[in-house]
Amino acid sequence: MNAIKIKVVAMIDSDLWYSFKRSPLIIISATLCMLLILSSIFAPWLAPYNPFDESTLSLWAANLPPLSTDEDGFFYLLGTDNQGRDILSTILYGMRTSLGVGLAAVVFAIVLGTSLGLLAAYSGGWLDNLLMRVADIQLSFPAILVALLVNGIVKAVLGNSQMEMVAIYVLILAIGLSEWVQFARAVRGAALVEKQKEYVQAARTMGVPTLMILLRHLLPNVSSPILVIATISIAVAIITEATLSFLGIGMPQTQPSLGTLIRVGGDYLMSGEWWITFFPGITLVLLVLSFNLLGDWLRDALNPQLK
Amino acid sequence: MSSLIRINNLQVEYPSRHGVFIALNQISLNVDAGTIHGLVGESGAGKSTVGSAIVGLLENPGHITAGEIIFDGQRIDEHSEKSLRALRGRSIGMIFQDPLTSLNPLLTVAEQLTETIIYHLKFSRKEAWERCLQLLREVDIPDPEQRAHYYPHQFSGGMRQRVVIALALCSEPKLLIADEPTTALDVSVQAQILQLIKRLTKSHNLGVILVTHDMGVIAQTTDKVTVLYQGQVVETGDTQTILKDPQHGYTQSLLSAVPRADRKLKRFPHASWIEDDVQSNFSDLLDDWKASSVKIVKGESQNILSVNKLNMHFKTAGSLFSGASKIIKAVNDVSFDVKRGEVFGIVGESGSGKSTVARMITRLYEPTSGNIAFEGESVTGTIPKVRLNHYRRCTQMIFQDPYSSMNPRMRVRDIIAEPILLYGLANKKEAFLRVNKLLEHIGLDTAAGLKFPHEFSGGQRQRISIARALATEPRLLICDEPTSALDVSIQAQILNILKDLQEVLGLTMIFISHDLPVIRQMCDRVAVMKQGHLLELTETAELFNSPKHEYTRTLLKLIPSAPVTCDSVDSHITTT
Repeated sequence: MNAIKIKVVAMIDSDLWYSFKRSPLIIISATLCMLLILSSIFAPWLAPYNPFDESTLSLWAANLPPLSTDEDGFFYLLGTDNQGRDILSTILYGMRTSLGVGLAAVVFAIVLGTSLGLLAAYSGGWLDNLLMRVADIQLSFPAILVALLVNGIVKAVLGNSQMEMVAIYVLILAIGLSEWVQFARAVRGAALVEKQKEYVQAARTMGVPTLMILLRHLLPNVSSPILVIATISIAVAIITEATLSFLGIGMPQTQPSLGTLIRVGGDYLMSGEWWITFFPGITLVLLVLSFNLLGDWLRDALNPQLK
Repeated sequence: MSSLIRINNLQVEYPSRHGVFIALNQISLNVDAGTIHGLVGESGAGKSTVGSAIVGLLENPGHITAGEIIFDGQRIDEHSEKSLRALRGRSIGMIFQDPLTSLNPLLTVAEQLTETIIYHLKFSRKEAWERCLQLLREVDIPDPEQRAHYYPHQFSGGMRQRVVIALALCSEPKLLIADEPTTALDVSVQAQILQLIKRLTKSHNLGVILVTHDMGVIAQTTDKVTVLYQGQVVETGDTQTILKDPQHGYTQSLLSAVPRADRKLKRFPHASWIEDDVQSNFSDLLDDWKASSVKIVKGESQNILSVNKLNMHFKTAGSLFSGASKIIKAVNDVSFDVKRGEVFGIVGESGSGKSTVARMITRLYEPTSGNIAFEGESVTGTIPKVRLNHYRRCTQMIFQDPYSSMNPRMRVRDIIAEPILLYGLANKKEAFLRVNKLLEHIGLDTAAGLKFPHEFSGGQRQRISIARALATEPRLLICDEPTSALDVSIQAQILNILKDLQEVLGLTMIFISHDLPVIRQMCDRVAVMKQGHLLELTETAELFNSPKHEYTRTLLKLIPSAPVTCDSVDSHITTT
């Protein structure tokens, strides 16, 4: 109990919390971010309808505008889509998929990038050269292209029928692969600086095993750039996922993400049913914006040179 | 007569959310034209803040809350920003510590000088050029017609600082503020620059405020001196009077903490008035060690470490396309023996290879050729794991920079316990007990173990480093410039701790330093190194009294003359 109390006091006293408190924009975006994350976690409880339960769907209720009530007396706050699904519910579930893919892809990119970056920095020599040249080559491909490539390969191997089941993992893999380079570069740069410091040399003179030096001494000291890049990367990952889904090579219609919802709605935009694509679009913008603002603020707050 | 600049009860404060930090507390200062006034103090004393306050360059959120600055009969602290800028440039010149950053690297020296002259004195281009040459001649730049067209990076450090001085003189100022003007320079260059400043003071009738941490510089250069301690004036007056007969305890301890090159003292006296008085106590440490597996044998003449024909060649990495790589010979055929229980010094300038030798001894570098033997057994190349672990445990290192030699994300307790646990000397519980004991020995309380390194000052951190080095009960301690990043009074404190340790435990030490007076105070025998070669190896006293090698003689000559040691301090000194 006491230990927790000390930790809480230390957190409230920290510079990070101080700079957080002083910026209303950040408080708003952090609150928004939390709200969106929480509402997607609790989507099954929060959503008024289950959009994937086919028994509740009725085509009579399709393409209803926002704030309308159907013949059976059900109320749709944001209207319904072409299959009669409640837009609000599909957004909540779609955001869940979008966030899940984004987070998982970034975690994958962090693990891959950080370990390769640490390895490159610590070992140096030809391994460092090799890894960084691979990273350079990877950087010359746009993220979308990398994702398309991975997607295409998996599709060719598994075929269309099984693709729906593994679509989410393919997306995570594809987006993660296109983002690891940033982590690897940042970690390598920071680790090269830390490696020269005397505490690492002290550990080496003691004969501390290499893996322990990497994990206990280097990793904790290169973690703040990882945190900053991760926050911004989540936003990028969500956008990439939405783009892929919008192009029709991401999440299938049966498990829609925000990008899928925007694509489906896009078909009806010309016929005046704007709400089908508008609300998922707005949600995507808010989600990405709040992550970006948080990332920017973290970068400034954790960088002592900007203080 | 009225003085050139008068500072009355100046108060500078830095408000922050943790409370108001008072950088200067009621400082008063008078500087006359034609004199050099020294401001001396250790880091955090506020000596640079005085200069910044005068020229209005206080960094946000610092501001003047009380007092006044009167320059040439005018108050300048309340001037509007614009008129202040003109005044600042025209009548007050500044010289900073690092000559490289005070010059614009993209403009030639001539461009920078003439531009400043035209801006301030409204000269024509031709007149400005003449004036530029004259200034460069005055600061002793040879061949100024040629050199004026050089870029700053084409000058050496000392020459660059001369250019900075010329730049400061461009507008014919009355007051010159020199903030640690020689700290970044080599000793030999330092003397020349100080001479130059002295000469210009007389010839231009300048008032000079010389900010420094170095008592030697004060003794050599200044007419008057003000000693600052934690933002307060501790003592002020004629330099000679203060150096001979310091009244305040802080000035006394500051003076006595400066290592002397002329004789060896048993300890540094008056090491009080420092951040906190250390009560280090090693007497019972020996009992602990006696009981442990590693025996400390005192006074045996057997060599503990033999270094035989050591060579270290570094290959510069060729790039991907041009495979040509150069070989740098960092250490050439170095051989020496370290006797059990002695303090063996290695002295040399930067690039002499002294740290490389230390790194080979601690196995951070694998020597290109040659052999190192510990207690008669080779410890270079691939050796059995048992012997390697034993050797690593018996040799520990203390590093130069107390700010980077500890993992900032680990607690002090874990830092000190790491080697104990690594070699399996104790289980976790026993290890922490040992850590507590070690913390007591170095004069910190056991609560310190739960804190992180950044919560300690430089001196405290260096003591924690010592505790970590002692944790495995080593027999050989390698100190690589252990005090060169510290203030002089804290240096005295750390050196005292090392002396005590050596005395009580009979530890063998290899002490590496560029600072000859420190070497004199610490070492029994000294090896002099230059560009990877060992030039001379002899008893310390003999080296200082009758140096054999030409290079050693030059080094000894360059030691800045020690400040006149006051009698009151002398009476406390016991010489050995």
